Amino acid sequence: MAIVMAFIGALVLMALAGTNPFSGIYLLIAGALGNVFGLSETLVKLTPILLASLGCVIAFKAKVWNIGAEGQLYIGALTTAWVGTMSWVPPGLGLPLVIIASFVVAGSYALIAAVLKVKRGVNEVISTIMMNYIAYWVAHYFIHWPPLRDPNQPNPQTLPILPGSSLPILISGTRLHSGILIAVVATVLVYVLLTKTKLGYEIKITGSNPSAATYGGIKVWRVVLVAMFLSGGLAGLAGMGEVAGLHGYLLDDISPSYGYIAALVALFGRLNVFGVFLGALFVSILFNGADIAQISLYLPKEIADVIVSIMVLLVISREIFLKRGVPKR
Amino acid sequence: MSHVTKRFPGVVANDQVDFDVMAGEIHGLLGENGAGKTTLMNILSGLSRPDVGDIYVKGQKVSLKSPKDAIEEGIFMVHQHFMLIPNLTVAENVILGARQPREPLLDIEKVEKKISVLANSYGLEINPRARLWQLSAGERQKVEILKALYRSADILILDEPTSNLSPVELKTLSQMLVRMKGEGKGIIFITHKIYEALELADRVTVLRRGKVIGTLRRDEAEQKELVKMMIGHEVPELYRRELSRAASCFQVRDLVVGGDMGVDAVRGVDFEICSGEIFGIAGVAGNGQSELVEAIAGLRKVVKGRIAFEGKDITHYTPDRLYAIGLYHIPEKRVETGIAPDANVAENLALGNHSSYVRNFLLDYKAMANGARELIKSYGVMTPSESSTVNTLSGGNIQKLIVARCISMSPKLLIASNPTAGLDVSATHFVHEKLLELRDKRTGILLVSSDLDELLMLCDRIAVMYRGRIAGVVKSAEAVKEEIGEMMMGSGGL
Repeated sequence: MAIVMAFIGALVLMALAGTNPFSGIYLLIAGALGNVFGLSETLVKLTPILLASLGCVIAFKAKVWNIGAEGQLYIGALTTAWVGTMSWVPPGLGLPLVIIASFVVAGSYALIAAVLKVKRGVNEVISTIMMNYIAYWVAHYFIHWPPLRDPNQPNPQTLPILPGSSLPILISGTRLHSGILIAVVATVLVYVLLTKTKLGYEIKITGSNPSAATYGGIKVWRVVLVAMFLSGGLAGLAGMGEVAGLHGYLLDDISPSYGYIAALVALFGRLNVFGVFLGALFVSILFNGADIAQISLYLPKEIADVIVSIMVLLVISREIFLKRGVPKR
Repeated sequence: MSHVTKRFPGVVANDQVDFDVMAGEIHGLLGENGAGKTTLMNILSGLSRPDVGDIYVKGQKVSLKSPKDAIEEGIFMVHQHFMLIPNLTVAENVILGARQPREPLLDIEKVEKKISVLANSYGLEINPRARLWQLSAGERQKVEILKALYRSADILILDEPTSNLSPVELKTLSQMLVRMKGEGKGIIFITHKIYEALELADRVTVLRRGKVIGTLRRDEAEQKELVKMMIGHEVPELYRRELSRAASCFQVRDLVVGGDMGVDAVRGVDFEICSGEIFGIAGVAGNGQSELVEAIAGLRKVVKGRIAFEGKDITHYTPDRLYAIGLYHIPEKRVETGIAPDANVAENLALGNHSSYVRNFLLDYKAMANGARELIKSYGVMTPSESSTVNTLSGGNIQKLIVARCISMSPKLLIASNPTAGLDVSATHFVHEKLLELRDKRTGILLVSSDLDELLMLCDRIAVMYRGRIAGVVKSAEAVKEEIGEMMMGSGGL
């Protein structure tokens, strides 16, 4: 429903920009979905966005506001650049090791903010955002300096990921790698976790009313720690996919704010897995289509950012419209 | 008010209601929760407009489009939850929203003088410079009434005026009302407590499901009759059987518990409860009862002292461990502490016991829903289904949910903190019934309540808490209400 409104807003803007809005939309969608290459590129973008968004959903459902998906993504990417270039790893183990390592390390990175919250009451919004900067610049260091920097390349980037640790390409001629499969599996797993497990129940209750959760015997501190760990881990997998699947190495700005977009998509999709999947898909189509439409229409690709901004406004205003008064005793 | 009708989606809140107040009378509006009393008074005070019907003040038809219009007509409403600002002074609160003679300049000293004069003429002692947060509930209520007097209200509407008052403050209130009545003012008060209506009102009108069932004068009205009018049928009286004395199963020794303002809220409390005994704690709210209960229930840290249950030291037990040994708790703030508002009824009913629904690492939601359905039926929780979100339930039904959850676990000891606060007659009767049933099954019950009549009816023994200590313990069979009231105010007992 909100997607519809975002689209209408986009049409208006396009008209204001002097372009025919309908052909603009057509090109956007056709570019994103109309042919194999476009579709593959859409799915390529979907992988990290979906993974990070799922992570955000887990945390947000517990009302743990993890805005650190971006940093956790970089940590996951960095871990992949480390572990994926370790030549002594036997073949066959490389890829599973990279996947597990990036999940665990990124999850632990998120855990730092969680422990600060539980032990010292540090606001996780502030701590996770600050840790984003730390992660980005730590990654930056390793991109520019030995031991990880690739001496053979003029541009700053890390050593190439070994073939045994890379995600295979699914469709030759495209950039679509099997990270998308991991993302889809993750979607199913997160759905089961949140709706059918005891942990999912505890997350829901903690997010709804932490006092009632404590009263009900739920160890809220444990729920917070686990939710953050899982959340960070999924964002880390997003980073892993970009390094081991898409680029083959780590470079600066490997993420165009995927982490922040993920937080938005989680809220836009109302914290339920299906909605978030659609939201992530919508955003992927949008960004990919905008890239493509830019060429034929002189439509600046920033139109996608503008539409995302409209999404932000919609999420905020939805809360205002739906807010009921305090229930009477 | 004539033929007043007000409809909301799905329900007729007021159905052709005729209601009147005469100058110099106190008229009680009695009814269950949801009967339409507050809706009706909201119309009279200008907060809402009737769909059908007219309002006449002093013979003239009036149209009240907002509380401002109502105040201009001399109608002022004191709401159940006071509309006062804690960090402003009494004077500043009283003039909130009222026109000042030299607007926009504020002559606060003139106002303070005027308030002092006004208060004294009614025999009220109030310091206009005092800050609101320093005042007790009874004193705050006086400030609200002062607001009405300051605006020269002729018709005063009080919504549930006695819910936060001690017996002494109740007397003060009734004296004040009688005085105002003598001056020709008309007073309406909303209540669901029958004894309140009988004590304070000259006439009583009973509403049920939006309709006026009848209006009786005080000398005509009788408790049983009023109950029948409010609910539609008779309600059997509850009776506390004589039980043989059993062994003490729960002990509290020298308990010290910290409060929220840096001061200890519980300052050395000792008592014991036997199985099959209902032990009550009386006292004006804010004397440490809430903190005591939270400490026992594992929700607040114990600074010093011991709590023992069946031989085990449970002083620092968390709620999950307490549930495991059969100690359950009906919380004082039912919405704040007892339920997760975004979860549904089944999920809330399973809270505390949810681990038992785990099969093969997954939560068996079907079993949870089945269990919930049974509880909904046997406890009469009014909800469209077990998967409805809990924040759609009324306060009374939320309490039924919490009570159902606790009692269905067959507790060995139950702590009930103000379990019937804000509940209507049938819900209150239900809770009382269940508590007595538990007692017959030899469960020990710790009942904290600000309703002395409830305590006297249900408890075997009653302790009175004052300023964090127990002022005295009496057997309810021997108890004298005035004596307990004095202990509650700190002047009686030990």
